[in-house]
Amino acid sequence: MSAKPIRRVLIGNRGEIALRIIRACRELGIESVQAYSQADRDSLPVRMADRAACIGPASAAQSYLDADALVSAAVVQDADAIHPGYGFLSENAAFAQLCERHGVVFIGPGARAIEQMGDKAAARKLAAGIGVPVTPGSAGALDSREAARIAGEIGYPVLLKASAGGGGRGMRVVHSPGELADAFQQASAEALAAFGDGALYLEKFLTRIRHVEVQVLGDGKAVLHLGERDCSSQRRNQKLVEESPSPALDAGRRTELCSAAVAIARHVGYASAGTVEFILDDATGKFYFIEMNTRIQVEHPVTEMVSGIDLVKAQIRIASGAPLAFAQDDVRLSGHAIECRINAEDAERDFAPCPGTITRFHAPGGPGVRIDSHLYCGYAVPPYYDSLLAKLIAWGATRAEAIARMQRALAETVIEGVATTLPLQRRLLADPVFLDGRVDTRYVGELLTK
Amino acid sequence: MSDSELTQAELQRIVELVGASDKFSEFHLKARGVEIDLRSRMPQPPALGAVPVESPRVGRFRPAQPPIEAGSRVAPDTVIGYIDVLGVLRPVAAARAGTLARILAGGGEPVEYGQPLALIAPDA
Repeated sequence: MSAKPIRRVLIGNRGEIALRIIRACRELGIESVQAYSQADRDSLPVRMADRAACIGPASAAQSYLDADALVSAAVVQDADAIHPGYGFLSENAAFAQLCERHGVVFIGPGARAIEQMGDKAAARKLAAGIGVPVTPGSAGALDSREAARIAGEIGYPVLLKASAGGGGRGMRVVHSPGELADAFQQASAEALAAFGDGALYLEKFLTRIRHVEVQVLGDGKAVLHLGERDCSSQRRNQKLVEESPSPALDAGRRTELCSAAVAIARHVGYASAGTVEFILDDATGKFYFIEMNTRIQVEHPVTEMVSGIDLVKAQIRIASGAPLAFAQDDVRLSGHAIECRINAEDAERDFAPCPGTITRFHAPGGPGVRIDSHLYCGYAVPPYYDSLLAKLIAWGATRAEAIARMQRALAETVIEGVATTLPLQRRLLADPVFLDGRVDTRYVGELLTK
Repeated sequence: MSDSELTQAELQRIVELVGASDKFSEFHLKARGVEIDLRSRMPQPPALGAVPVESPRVGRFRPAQPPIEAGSRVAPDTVIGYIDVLGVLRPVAAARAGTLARILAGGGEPVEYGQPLALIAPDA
């Protein structure tokens, strides 16, 4: 970990998270340089940053995924550090190394932790090794014969997952021995295409589960947690709504879960913001480690709203070599926060991305409401990147108040010109099962087929 | 009015800021009593029909050695300069036959992707 003062940060990302990082920089008195592709020339982050530098054409492979271009831009712009945001190169150990080699601080946990956690099968092994429960399955990566043997032992259905991956790619549910060989081949090919690595591991597929993750912060010595987020409202492994605290945990279970997350992060000497993901089996109340994400998460504002801690500023301070300014006992989690992701997707066309020009935009406001968005009226949503338009976050003293505020905020929000997931969010926030806090990871999919 | 006068440090800062900017071609300053007269750098009208050679990378511009002078003939494969990307020099070719009207980027200057580096008047 360097102890280099950070005076200027290059932002190697786009959209709402770029804006989020610019805001953190500004509050810290740090200059921001927005790296952008030609498709993002007219974007809000380019206008709001202190400086901007075009790094390549629209294609992400030649811009936001081009490590040389980003580091070169940082070097010639005299940036002390790069913030990678989420996605793109945020969990790429080679990129973190390239930054270090050219004297640019990578705002993240460093190449070693990324490598340790980036191999999902190895991370699972590491967790099991320090006594954190993992779902029954393989100890690490395996071949299809070994997969068949373990699946026979633990019983079908089983889940094949990409060692190098995440986000649902390279993942297959296998219901019977007859399906295994084909599913293995397909998942491995998909993983190879998506991550450049076809290695797979295998887990027992649990059907009624929740996705609960713990936000951790480490400075290389101390590690603490900022509570959990429940991200069970998903459609095809894409999160739609996140909330903190989880309605499914009691105090005892919460303490166990958060302690397990801290133990994992401490074991790797974690130094940045990170997220330890678990699944929670509703039937048994047991939780199992799935993976650790070594980046800032899309849903980080939920934690910021209940903890009052600015996670992006914390990341920047830690990257500059500063120790954590507070201890676990100083962390006070208060009230309840919910986030809804508003995507440019058309529900009528199976949620196909829907690029186009925003003809009308009205952001919600009022007590307890926050919006993180790069939208403006007249903005052309480019077709090249993900479809996230805005994150709406509502805080309340209780879950009921947070829900009421979110319902109100969703009703106030106007986005015209492109199809969005606003109607789905309004429906979900009024759904009796959601209101009851009983949503599991399959619920939204089932709701949509009703 | 003394409180409307600039301090030496403030003056120095102004000169530094203007000096570091590439937006101005002229800068007059009358000091203390303050009178600043900036002239923005307008791109000089390019030679008729001149076509820009754009930077293929983000990095630092390094002119060809020996530099190619304005008025020189260039072929499509004539290297007019390089983009220094993390210490690796990537050649920038004229891409068309014609006459080099002007090199726009200074030696060592940070350049962005797509930034015009030179103007070439192509052969008719």
